[in-house]
Amino acid sequence: MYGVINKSLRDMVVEQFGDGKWQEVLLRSGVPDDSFLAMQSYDDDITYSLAQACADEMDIDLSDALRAFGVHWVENTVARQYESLLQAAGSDMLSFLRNLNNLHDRISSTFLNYRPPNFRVHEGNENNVEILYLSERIGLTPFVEGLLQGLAQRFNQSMEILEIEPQAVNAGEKTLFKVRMG
Amino acid sequence: MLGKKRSSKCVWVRGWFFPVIKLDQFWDELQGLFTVVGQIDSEGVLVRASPLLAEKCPIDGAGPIKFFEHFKFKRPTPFDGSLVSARGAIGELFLGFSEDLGFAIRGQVMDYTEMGLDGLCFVGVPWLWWIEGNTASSTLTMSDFPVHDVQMDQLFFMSTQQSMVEDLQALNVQLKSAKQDVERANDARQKYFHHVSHEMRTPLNGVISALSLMSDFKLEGKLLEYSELASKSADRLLEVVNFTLETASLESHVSQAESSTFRLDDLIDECLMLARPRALEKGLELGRSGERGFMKNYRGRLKLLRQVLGNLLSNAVKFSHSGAITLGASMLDSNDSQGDMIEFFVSDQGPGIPADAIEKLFEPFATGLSAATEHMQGTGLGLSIVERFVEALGGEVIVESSVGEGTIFCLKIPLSFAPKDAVLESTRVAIPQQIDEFSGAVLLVDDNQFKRQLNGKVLESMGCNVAIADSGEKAVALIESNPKAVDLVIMTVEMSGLSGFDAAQRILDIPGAENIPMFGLTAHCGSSERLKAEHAGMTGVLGEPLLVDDLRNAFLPHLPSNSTVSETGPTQHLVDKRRADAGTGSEPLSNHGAMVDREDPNMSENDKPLAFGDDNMAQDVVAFDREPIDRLVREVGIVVLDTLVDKFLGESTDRWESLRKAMADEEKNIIIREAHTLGSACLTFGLAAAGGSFRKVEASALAGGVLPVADQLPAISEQLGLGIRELKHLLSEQRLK
Repeated sequence: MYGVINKSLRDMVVEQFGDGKWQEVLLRSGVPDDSFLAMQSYDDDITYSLAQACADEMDIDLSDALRAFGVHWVENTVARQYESLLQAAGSDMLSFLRNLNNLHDRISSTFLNYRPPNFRVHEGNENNVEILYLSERIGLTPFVEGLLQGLAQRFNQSMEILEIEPQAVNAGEKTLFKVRMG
Repeated sequence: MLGKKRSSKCVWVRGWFFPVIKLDQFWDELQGLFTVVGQIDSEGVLVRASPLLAEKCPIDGAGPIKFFEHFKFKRPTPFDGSLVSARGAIGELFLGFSEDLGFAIRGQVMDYTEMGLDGLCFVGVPWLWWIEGNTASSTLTMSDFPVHDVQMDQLFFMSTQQSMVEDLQALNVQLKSAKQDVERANDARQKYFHHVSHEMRTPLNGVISALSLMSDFKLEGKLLEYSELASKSADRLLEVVNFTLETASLESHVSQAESSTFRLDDLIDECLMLARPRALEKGLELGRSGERGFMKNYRGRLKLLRQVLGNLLSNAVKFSHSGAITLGASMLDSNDSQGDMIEFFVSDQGPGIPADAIEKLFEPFATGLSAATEHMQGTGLGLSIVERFVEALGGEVIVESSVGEGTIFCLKIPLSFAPKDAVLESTRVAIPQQIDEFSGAVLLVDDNQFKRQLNGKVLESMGCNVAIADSGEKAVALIESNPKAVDLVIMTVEMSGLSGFDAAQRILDIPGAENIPMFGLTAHCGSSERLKAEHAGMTGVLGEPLLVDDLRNAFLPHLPSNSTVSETGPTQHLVDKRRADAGTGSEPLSNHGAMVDREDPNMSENDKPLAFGDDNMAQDVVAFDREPIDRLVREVGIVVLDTLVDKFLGESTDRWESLRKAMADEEKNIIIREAHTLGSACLTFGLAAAGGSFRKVEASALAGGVLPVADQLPAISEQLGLGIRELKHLLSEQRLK
């Protein structure tokens, strides 16, 4: 993953718990250095190790840590660094979700090693929406759950996650989020 | 729909062939590719617009919109807003903006006259960067940009680049902070080492001095054995302490981006200068080989290079028992605009290094790598440092060695040329004037280490090959082993063990040594000393401190002269002045030849035994005479002089204590010995008042009269203190020069 992800994780811990806690996380993770550059591609294991160390250090489940990270990613990192893009991608949560693949396509032309997830949005009746998440990576469904919560907060939209349904897939991860928009 | 392939009926638009289709279908095709599309009639009026353009420029609004006037176009240039001008710029990039609308467009115009319509068509997209930069908030969405347009990609890219810049700025701050931390730590370490150095060296010097004094007593058996062991161990410990502390401080050089401008010839001469005293002591030849006269100045890490060459020379001297050591350099390759590849080499004729030991040579703490050198202890860090520093200099080091024949270290080091206006780094040592007036082997015999070093250096500066013996016994043994190896002997007459006079008599009895000229060296050039010298078979006596001009007079009849140097050397006027002041001079004493003796036939006041209680003791003598220091700087250089003065200061405290105790205990022999040594040293280094007082103490004790009493010591102590202060001040001045 790109350094911008690792940086965001570090910023979340530092902002919420201070630099001392981050140093403990870093030590626990075994990652030797936290001088991440946003556009540099790092081994996925670094991100996973850091996330796991965060969970261990906070004494919470990894899924809780990833969920919190998803919220932080939308509310802080993306909003701070890519606000123009966020604005261009949509003025409400649904339009944003529909543009999300388009956004990732554009990122792919710059981040050549980028392996973005794919989102398929299907609007049902009574404000029910199904969001199918597909990724080459495993274990990031809680992070996506956090992203959805963060987006709902950003667009000031009430959202209830009705069901998170893992689906069979040959490789990577595939999850169906069933949500109800307010 | 668009393509280069010609169909049966096409319209040509700036190099592209469009198949002729219905106008509406064509319009739809354009809107599929671009989000800002406008049809402009022959009057320049916008008559049809895509939804995004129509939102900004309503066609059915207040009045007709003159498209090329409505927007201000930054490109193309020149562009006057007319339809003619627009038609002339078909195929060029159009960048237009409207501050009123808060909207900007980028694209190009197309001519579709052949489709039966007048006017032009504008196709393009919103000009994102202008809008981002000139409007408070953009209402554009991703759907306002066709997928092939890269402006959104650029937006993401620029956002990320901004993040990268911030990352790098943050890293830069961290690096600066880390660098400052390292510098602070280094500084603290330097202070610590300085402190430790002082704390360790001072008591260690005390131990060494005390052991040296013990050796003056006639120790025998186990006591002698233990004393020698203690002395060797203490010397060794001091060497290790000095080396370790110096090494630790040198470590910081590697990380420092030091860059100095220097002359290669100066650097080589300086390194040889620094190694010479030790080589001299061991009777080794030390010289320069390779090329000379490097024309260009170089710029680089002078401290590292100096240390590398110094370490290699120091090792060569340490492990060699005989033969020659050379340091040289030659140019391997030159890049006229950049610099030269220089090969340095340090060779010796020492015991050599076995092949299997060479691979471990540069490992830290590698010592005793061969049977021949295993008894020579060292810290084993010298060559490790050499390798590290050579690496830091961007060079390489190669060793070739043959057991029993010697070793040569070759360093290939790239050196950059210095800019023409660069200021040369002055060498650390004032290179003393090399007179090279005489040739021949001179044996210098003295039991005082710093006098050996000092006088050896003076002799060498005159061109002599100098051999050293630290006792009369060793001098006799050395000449016995090879009488032909010595052309002349200079021997201190007052020595513990075999005195100079006794040693001279024994030397005369050695077959083949009968005609070796021998000069006694004494602070008392009185008639009694002259007589003793004559009785001992000596050629003459030389006064202390040893002066070049006295030596020249002494050498002329006995040593081969390279006499291109005027007999009146550069220091002659000073000598003349001294002699005029002292009312003394040198003159032949007998038929032995050029006997050198500064004594007036009538003994001078200073040489007369003096009752210690004289009121005028030393009162008329200046506290400090800078002339000896000026002379010594010229003759031996400031670095050697610094070393000697350090040794003097280190020893003087202990000798002073010894003298004080001897005076309290009325130990006449010790009083004579200590006062003599202190007096000689003080006069050598210009401490005239203190030296004079010590002379009088010695003379008084020698005369056998009333022994000096401890009450006199405070006055001498004050003279000594004042003199030392002046000496240090003068040395500081000399270093600055």
